[in-house]
Amino acid sequence: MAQSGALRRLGLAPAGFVLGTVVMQVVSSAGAAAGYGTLGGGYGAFGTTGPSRAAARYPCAHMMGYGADHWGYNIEDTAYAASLSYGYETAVTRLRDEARTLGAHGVVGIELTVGDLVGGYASWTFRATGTAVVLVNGPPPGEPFTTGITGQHLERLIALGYAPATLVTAVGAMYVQPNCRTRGDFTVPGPVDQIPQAIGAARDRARSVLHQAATVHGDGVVDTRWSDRRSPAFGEGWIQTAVAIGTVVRRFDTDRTPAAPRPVVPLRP
Amino acid sequence: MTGPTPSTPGGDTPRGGTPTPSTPSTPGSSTPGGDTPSTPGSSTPGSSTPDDAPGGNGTVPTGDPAPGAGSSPDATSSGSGLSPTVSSDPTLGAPEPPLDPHAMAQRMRAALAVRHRPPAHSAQVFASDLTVGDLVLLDEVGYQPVDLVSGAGSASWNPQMASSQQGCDAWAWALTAAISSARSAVDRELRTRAADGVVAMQLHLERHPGNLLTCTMLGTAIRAQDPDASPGRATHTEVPRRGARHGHSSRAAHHGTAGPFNTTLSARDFHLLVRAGYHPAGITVGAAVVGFASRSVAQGMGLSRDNMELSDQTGALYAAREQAMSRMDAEAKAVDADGVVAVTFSERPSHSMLVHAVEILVVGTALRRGDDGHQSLHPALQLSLDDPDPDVFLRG
Repeated sequence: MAQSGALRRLGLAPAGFVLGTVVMQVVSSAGAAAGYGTLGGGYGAFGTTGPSRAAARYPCAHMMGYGADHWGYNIEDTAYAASLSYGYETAVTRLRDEARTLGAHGVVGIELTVGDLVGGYASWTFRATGTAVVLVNGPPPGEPFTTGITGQHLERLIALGYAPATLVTAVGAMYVQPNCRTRGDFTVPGPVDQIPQAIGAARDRARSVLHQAATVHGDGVVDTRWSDRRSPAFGEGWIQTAVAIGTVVRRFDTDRTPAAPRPVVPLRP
Repeated sequence: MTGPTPSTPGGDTPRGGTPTPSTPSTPGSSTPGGDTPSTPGSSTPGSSTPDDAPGGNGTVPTGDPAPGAGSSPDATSSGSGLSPTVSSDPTLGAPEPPLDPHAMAQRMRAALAVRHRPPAHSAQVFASDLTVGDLVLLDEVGYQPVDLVSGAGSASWNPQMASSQQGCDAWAWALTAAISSARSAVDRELRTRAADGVVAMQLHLERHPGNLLTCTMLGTAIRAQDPDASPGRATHTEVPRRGARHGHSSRAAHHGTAGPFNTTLSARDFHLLVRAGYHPAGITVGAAVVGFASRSVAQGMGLSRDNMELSDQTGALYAAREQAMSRMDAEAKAVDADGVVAVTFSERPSHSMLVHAVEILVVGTALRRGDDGHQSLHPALQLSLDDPDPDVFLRG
């Protein structure tokens, strides 16, 4: 009720509940990059020094040393990240198409979810839901804006002088083939570089997508929801993913309505 | 605990609890998420709040201070019994006037119109995981978001060495090293962005099999706004802005030391801290591992039938807590802090055939008091007429 009241005060009326769904097969590319599935060309073969692609190498930490098959590698998993971001973006595009057929000026309160509803192995269901809104007595609608923000927060965003532009989903993924240190081998204790590097690289990739979207569509990204995931992959390896979903905002007015929040102590149990 | 445990007002509040719960109590926008104690309108029933206005076309006076909230409430309103005088405390000020729906609808039009202009392709974009409410609160104390910053650190240890003091120290070192290397990675990112610090940092500790700890941090870097270079300041209404003043004093508070600050405190807590005259100095960590002798075989098998204290293990818990707290104290003193708040304890026993140890990890946010000292916020008492949470009834 309070949310719809805030939207009414902005002159926005709900036009309908809109939805976009896509089922994707999400497969990692890093296995091939690491040399799996190739005959004799993998890094396990004698005399080779590991993947030839751009990969960070983490040699074995033991005193005797071992061959390259014992080493650790961090490889960017572009196909995995691309299929995830394709899934999110397609769901949002379909949601926006539904909103356009309703003649809406925008979609507010968008929620993005991922599940394994149908399809079984490696089949992911991406779903975007939101409320299409129309500006009452407004100009003819163009491309509807999309945002996860709604209600009083949207009202405050407008009061701050920012217009919602578009929802942005940013994904980064790294395939991690761990070495002995990364596996937590207690005979070589100490600092572990490989895990922070993988997390940092995945997050950096996602963050640069956010920056790119902000540069193209507006002035900044707010309300970003981050999730870091670690999905098991070949053997002891895993895929480290960073997913960031936010709203690109664009400044339309340097004038802003000030807020004067007052501290209160609620008298409730 | 160790001698002078630093404490500040609110220091005994567990993490997540707000010392003085505040709302971004803008009558037009009480935060819907449920994480805020809900503000039904404002505390003056005389002021019509647009929350209740259906359709949004009711005219709401914006500039007028709400009746009953002035410094000298007139006799009729206080005598009627219908509008309780909120406060005659001049420091409290008038409640915020509600947002004018007509003006807001016009702004919404302008916001839609900007999409038809070609994008500005601004060079300096920001990224933030803060909500709009958080941005409003930061703006009010004079800070703006800069970028998302992150850091991670990992370290492993050999648990079998826990029988020796040296092994215990190496273990505790690994716990601290994972967190402090994440912290220094965040610090590097803050410095390259010329940020003043990071708020609402998500700090996750993940344990992997094989005695490995990974610490990840992620948060929004913020920078104090230049008070001279903000053209749109306080133009709509005459609400006095605290922003510039707080920005100045807090800037002075943390420029006394070397670098940018980081804290796990939420943007709301940060807002309250800055208004109360404090400033975070940084995250402080203390870790300790204390080993103890294994019980005798008879005890372990349950053949010993005496009810008695296992004093070795009690002692190990005490010693580990003392060590961890004093290490955190030492870190806080090193950054010249006045206290540590939002401290989280994680105690973990480690039991196996060979390893008998207790491991304690303490993480908190060090605070520094500004030059002006503590400023009372004069929080308004608010009696909510909502039904309390269902668990209140269940508890009787």
